[in-house]
Amino acid sequence: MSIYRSAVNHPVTTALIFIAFAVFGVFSLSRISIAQFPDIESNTIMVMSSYQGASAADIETNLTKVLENSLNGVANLKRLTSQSKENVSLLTLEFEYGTDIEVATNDVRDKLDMVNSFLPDGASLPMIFKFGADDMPILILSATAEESLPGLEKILDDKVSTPLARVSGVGTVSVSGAPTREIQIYCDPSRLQAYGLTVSTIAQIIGAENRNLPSGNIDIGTSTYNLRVQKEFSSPEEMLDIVVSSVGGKTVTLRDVATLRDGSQEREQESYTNGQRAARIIIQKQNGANTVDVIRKIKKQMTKIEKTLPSDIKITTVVDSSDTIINTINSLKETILITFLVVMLVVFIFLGRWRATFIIILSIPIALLASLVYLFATGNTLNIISMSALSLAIGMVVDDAIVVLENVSTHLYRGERPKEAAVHATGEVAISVIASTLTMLCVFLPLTMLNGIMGIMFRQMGWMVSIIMIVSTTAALTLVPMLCSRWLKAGPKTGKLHKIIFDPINKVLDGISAGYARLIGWATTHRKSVILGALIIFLGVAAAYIPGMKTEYFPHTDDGRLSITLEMPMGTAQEVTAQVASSIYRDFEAGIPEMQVCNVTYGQADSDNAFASMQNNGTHVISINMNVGSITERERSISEIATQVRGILRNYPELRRALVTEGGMGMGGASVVKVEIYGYDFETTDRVARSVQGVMLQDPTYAQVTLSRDEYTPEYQMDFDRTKLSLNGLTSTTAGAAFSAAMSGTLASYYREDGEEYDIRVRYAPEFRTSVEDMENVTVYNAMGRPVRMKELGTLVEASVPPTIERKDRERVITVNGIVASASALSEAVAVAQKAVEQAEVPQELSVVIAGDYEDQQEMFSSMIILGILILLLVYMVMASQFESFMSPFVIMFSVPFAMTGIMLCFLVTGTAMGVMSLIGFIILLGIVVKNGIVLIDYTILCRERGMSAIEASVTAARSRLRPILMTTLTTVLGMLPMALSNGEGAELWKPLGITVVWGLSISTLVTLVLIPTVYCVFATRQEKKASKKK
Amino acid sequence: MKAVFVSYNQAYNEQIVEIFESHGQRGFTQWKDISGRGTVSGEPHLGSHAWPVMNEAVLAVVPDEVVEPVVAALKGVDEESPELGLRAFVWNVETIL
Repeated sequence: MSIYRSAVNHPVTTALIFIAFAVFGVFSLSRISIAQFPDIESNTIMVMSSYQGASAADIETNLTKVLENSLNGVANLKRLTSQSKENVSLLTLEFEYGTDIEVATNDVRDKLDMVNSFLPDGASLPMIFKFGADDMPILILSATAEESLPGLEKILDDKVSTPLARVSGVGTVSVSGAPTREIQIYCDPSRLQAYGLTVSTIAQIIGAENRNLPSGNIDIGTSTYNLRVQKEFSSPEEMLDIVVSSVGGKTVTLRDVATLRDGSQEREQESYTNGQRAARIIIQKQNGANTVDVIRKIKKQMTKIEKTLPSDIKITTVVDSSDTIINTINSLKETILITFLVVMLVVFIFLGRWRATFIIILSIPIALLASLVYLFATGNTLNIISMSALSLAIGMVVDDAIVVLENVSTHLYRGERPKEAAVHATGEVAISVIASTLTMLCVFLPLTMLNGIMGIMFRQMGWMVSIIMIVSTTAALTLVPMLCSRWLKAGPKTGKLHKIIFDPINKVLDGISAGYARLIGWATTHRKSVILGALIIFLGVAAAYIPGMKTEYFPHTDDGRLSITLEMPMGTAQEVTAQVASSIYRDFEAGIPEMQVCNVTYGQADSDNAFASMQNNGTHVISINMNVGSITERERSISEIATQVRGILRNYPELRRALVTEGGMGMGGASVVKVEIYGYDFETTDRVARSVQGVMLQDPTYAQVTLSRDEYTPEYQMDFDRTKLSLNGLTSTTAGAAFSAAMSGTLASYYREDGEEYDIRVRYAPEFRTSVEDMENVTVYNAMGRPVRMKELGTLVEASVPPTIERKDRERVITVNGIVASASALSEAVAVAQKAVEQAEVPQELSVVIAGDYEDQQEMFSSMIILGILILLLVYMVMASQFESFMSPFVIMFSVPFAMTGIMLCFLVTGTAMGVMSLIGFIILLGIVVKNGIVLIDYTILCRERGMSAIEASVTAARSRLRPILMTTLTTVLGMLPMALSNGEGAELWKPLGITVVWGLSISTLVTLVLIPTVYCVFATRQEKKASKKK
Repeated sequence: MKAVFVSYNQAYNEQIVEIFESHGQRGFTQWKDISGRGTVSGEPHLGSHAWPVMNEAVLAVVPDEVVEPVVAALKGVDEESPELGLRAFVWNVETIL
């Protein structure tokens, strides 16, 4: 018994099977987490090794090169970059996407084990650490305070970061930017000298005075007592009364030689939120945890925490990566809902019957929900890709049901009983329904076999659509006939209202069908003009489009965030940086009305703040996070705001480098073109890079162009003369230690209060650390107790440290980073970069490569083209076996070039650039555009088999098949329209996909509805002539 | 006794046997999925790509007096939906084993 007869005979089972799909789907839906993109596993491993005292060049030769040579052979390694700077060598290994990072880590460890013995003595063993998208902070909060400011760090530590770290899924919580309490002992060098004291003796004395000592037990009478010396300071002021020396019978207390300051650290990272001193709370998630889930839990916890905080502490959100995700997914949900309604309306208008419409529409939720089971079972998320797949599929899932229902209606009109009509009608179209699903599977199943970043992006889409197609076909062959046999009647009674609405619609549709049949009658007798006309359309559009073709990689998204990194000249004092930072903030505040939250951070990061120390930091670096709210709340796009920010920053000539990056993190910011200049000599590569940068900067296609190489860092070196040292009975170590104790201070001891420890630091008072003379006057005591000044031991020289040496794939490199302006396409920017390189007169020994997004784009485009060809072949093969002919599918394939015409016309009209999403759209079109041809040619062949001539058959097929073709095409095109027109947050990403399919399918349908019958007639009449000759 | 041979569109399916049953006739022989074409008009029922519809046939041997009502009932069914196609043929039965 056929599957459709069993379905019709077992309505309960059939219904329950599909209800089960739906129930599992709803269950899955309630459990699936949401994310922006499919999980992208980290593909980067870093190897760090230090070699104290070695310069950048020494590190490069002795450490970096040795490590690079051994690590170069690790399997699946894509890129190997390195940075050699003073003391440290840092290698970054980027693997192909999809590589098992655990295996790669083991490989790296093995290679390092082999090479360890070749590393220079004194170099530390290389450390491996992994860094991926999971390590990016998911939430940055900022806490502002008024009277609680001095104690802010402790309050945040106790009340915020500790409870937050307990929230499941939270990795680390670090607090930075709050003032850190430190007790400073500022010594007066001349007084010290007068009493023969040094910074280190003071530090020793303080350390010795600040002790609690357990001293055993004593038995007195019948009791045992513990003995204890309790001399830790109970208040910082106690320290001032410590006796540090005695001169001529008089005691010298600390008060006589130094002052005490109980305040915050001298140099620390400072953070301001909306102009107010604040602390940043940076939250990272655990590997594999879901961002949205974790942030939701954190926020829940935060509402409890906020109640326990002092009333003047305000917590604001600086970066919330779940905002974008939630908004994006919501706008996709909206798109899907609209699509569903549009498709329902189209079906209803064509059928004019509620029951029939309901039967067809029912397959949408069932198929969609079934695909969610896959998402849940494989642990995937609802993200842009999987939701786009859902939206994409809605218009296509109804096609099979429409074909089946249409044929059932035909049978019913003939007078068959509903049950028999359902079974036989389904049986008649089953093969063509399966074939058309197979052509779609030819497109989407290959997507599931992709590797690399494309695999991560599109594998889910492939599976989802394939599952949806399979389920919808199954529903069309079982559920639809079952429901038809129950609900459809031969001649349903129609009311007056129904007639008023649907009679005109039917008249129009019949008119169109008749007109179309006449058109085909004309076209099949004027074949040459039709084919020539089609050729002219194709070549004309191609000729108009290709010369000015623009390409991009991923579309430019707008998530309402700007991250700005500003660098003042190396070694700028923190006070100067602070002034510039606050002045820039005021300019932003005045000029950018959209600004909601602006966090400004500068200064040297604490070494225990993992995230901050990973970032570029220092007294000269200002980093700004700006939040301008969702796109729906403002007029200007983030690119326009970024341009304005760049304009404001141009008024600050003291900024050596200004990086304005759109989008907080992840994909979809502005495109980047990197010009990599490989060569050993710093000077020549610098010259070439600057020349390339100059040309690129002048071109409006670039919003910002920076160089990767730092400039030389200025520094003072204390150059001791060994003869002088030995004459004074000193070594460079003792002299150096005294120098550093005076300048940066010695950690004397810890002051304990309420279970917390604060540093007690002894050093020269700030006023004695301001000039070269001050440094030269630092005194050190030799073994004879004689004071010696630094200037007697050597000279203070001004020097500059060479910049970090960057290497890529084992060669020195300098990169010119260009951010493409929002109005320009990546391809235009690349053309400018190429021109810049040509003008730069690159010496022969250098090589120049254009990389960045361009490199990835080229890689992806070429694999997409191969994929497209493969899919085209598969589609042809499926059709050829369905028709059991090579000719008919060849004729149908004529719709493919016109899909291209449609896309080209779309880019031409809208002026947008072709990116990855449009290409995916084109690949999907390969499966969709042939569907109309299949329906048309299949019926034409049927008519010929019934004895009609080719022309007659074409006209009959045209008249009879136009309605179903229009219906399926309209459901697909109109189903894509909400996607193509959506304007919500993140819409930039899926819009190109929708636009491409809408234009490609519309144009291709319009052209091929005329062209395909014509071309078919050309071949068919030739066949007919051959056959009659044989006779 | 007479033999009634009915060849009809498979869409009638059980309907034909039911007609015999309603006239108190138990015995019949049925063929499913067979092809055929009318002498004068109507679509051929060949089960091919061009003519996908198929026929069924029933052969029943019935007493002489039942033939007329059965044929009348069959005619009624046929006239209800002439597009489907149904033909009946009656001839004499000489021997029954």
